[in-house]
Amino acid sequence: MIRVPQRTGLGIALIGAVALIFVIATFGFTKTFTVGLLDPMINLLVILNHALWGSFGLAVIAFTILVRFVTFPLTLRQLQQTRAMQALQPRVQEIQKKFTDPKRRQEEMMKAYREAGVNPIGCLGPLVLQFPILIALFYAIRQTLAISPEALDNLSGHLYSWSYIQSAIPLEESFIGINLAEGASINVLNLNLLIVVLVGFSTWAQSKTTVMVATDERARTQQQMMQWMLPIMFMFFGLSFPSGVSLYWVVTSFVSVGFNVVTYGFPALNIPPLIGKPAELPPSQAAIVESSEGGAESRRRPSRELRTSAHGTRRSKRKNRRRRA
Amino acid sequence: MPPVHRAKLLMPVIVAVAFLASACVGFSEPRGWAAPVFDGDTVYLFVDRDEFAAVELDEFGGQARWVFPDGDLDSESEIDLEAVYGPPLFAGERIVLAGFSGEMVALGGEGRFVPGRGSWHRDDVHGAIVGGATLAGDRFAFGTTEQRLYVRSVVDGASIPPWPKDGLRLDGEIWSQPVAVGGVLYVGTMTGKLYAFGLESGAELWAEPFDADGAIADLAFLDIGGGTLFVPTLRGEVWLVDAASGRALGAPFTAEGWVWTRPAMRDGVAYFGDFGGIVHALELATGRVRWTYDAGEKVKAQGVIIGETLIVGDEGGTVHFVDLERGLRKNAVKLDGAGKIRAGLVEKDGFAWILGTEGKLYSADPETLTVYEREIRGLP
Repeated sequence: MIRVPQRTGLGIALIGAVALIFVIATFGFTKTFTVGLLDPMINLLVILNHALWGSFGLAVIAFTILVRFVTFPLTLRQLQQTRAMQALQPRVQEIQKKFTDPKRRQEEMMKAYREAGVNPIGCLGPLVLQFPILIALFYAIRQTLAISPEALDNLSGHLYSWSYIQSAIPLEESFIGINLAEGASINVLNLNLLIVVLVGFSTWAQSKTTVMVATDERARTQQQMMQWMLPIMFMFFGLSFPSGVSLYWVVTSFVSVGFNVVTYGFPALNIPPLIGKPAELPPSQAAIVESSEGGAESRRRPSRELRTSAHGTRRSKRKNRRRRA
Repeated sequence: MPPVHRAKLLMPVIVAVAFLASACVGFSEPRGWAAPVFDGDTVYLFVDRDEFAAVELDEFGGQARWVFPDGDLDSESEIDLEAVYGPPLFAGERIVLAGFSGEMVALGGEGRFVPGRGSWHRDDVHGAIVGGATLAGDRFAFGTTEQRLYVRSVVDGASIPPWPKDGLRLDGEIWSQPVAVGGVLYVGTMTGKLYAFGLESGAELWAEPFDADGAIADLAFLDIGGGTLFVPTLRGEVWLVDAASGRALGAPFTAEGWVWTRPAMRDGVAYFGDFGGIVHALELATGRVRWTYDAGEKVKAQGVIIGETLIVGDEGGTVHFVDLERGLRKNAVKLDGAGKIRAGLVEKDGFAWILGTEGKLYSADPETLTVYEREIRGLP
């Protein structure tokens, strides 16, 4: 595998950030977002719709999967950083217990992160980069659905003048009995309501497969609460949004489930991580990592131990012992 | 809590907030674009979505005579038109409104909904009404987004045989306002088909529907050559179709963008704008383009001709005064706070009347090439 030196990567990121700031300063945020992200996505969505037998539902599914896979390197980096952070938690807890002085504690924690080759906010970078893409994806689907005459009027401003695209308008809103342009109502039992249920289920499945470290009881309670709160919250949104947007959410959540399983594995089904298995860590430093689907039994009997070198790979154990002393 | 956990918890919250924010943006909320209708010194217009007002015009603006719905009337509280895109229909003492919600209501002359006294309210159609309804004697016709064409009675809103109660199912969504001329009902669909039906018999009159090969979102009947249909499409083409036979009169004219408007007509020349921001003067007999004018923004609203001036409004909220003969700009006035100009312009007393999407009314004077806001007083 080709390894890009960290400094080179940082340099590239810096140049990219400066270029982006320059473009935004020149054209404004809205125009940059619209021309750079939203318009290409909308046109791709229309092309997919045309290519997939005029089915907007299939276009949304294909489009979501495509965009998620294109941005997979960012997602993977974020997931790996998160996993590395999780593996470091026992040491972090140890430092928190050992040092009472906040300044010293902070120094020790930063040292621990540095030695483990982990950037404490490293998982935020890819997350921040993905965020505008996800928002553009959401807007693209909502805009392309043209749920009102005004929306169709607005859509015209986003379409390229290619005949292939122009001839695809307007799009078919019906997909396997679901009206993608309409929301659901709890008073009407139909397939639009089913999609809302799927929104809840997929969100729940996503949070279930996201591995979290239970550092203390309070954090564990919070995590468990979020597991149930999020699906309910998103189901509530699903009732307000057109079903096409809900379909996007269902697909993107299931793709996330897939990414989580590939990266973290799924202990409940004995599925190991398929990408970037964690390095070994001395037993004393092993992080007992609990998959959030674990429940009480798995808390008693850790289904899996993630072990990583909290002290870096290039330093001997003897040196580390000396340092700790 | 470590930063990574905060981030994990924050991510869904940020997404949720963004979703909520986007819901508040309202870029796709239906607001309507019905053109104002004049009757003497009274103008009937939608001041906000489904808020319909009768305004007595005076020198400075106008005083609202009534507004529908009236918040004090319980009988009106169940009516939700959502937004209205077609003009109100005046049928005797009744005013019929057809809304995007699929609901229709007939009001009394004073804008009140009083059941049993000529008023009625119906919500028994499938789909949304976009193009508005067309009046034809004692009946009115409209299409819906669920591909259905309805013909109903203005007396009670009920269906009139032989037209099906649940509407006649066509091949595509109906967004254009049907056209009723000489006992024939013409209607276009978003799949590009144009139909002609006998208004009384409900029978199809052409051997087969005309295929425009592009979504038909608007339609106009031109009283030339024994009856010609002006058929614009969202592929940016304009067809002229013989109303009697349903055959194309020559090749289509290709514009710079979608054409979603009706033309202003003078001496066999059609003046219309497109979504590429270009206004065209098209000689219908020869297909020759007399001139084009660059408005710079999408042109959705139908323009008007007053004297030797064509007045058009664009979606950037600018009113253009264009020399009719040469297509040159006489003046262009940007209306601050008008929103977009999507409703067709209307000529009245030598002025072009313009209703912006923000519900403000303006009059454009082709003599002085100026535009004034006409303040409407007495609105709730």
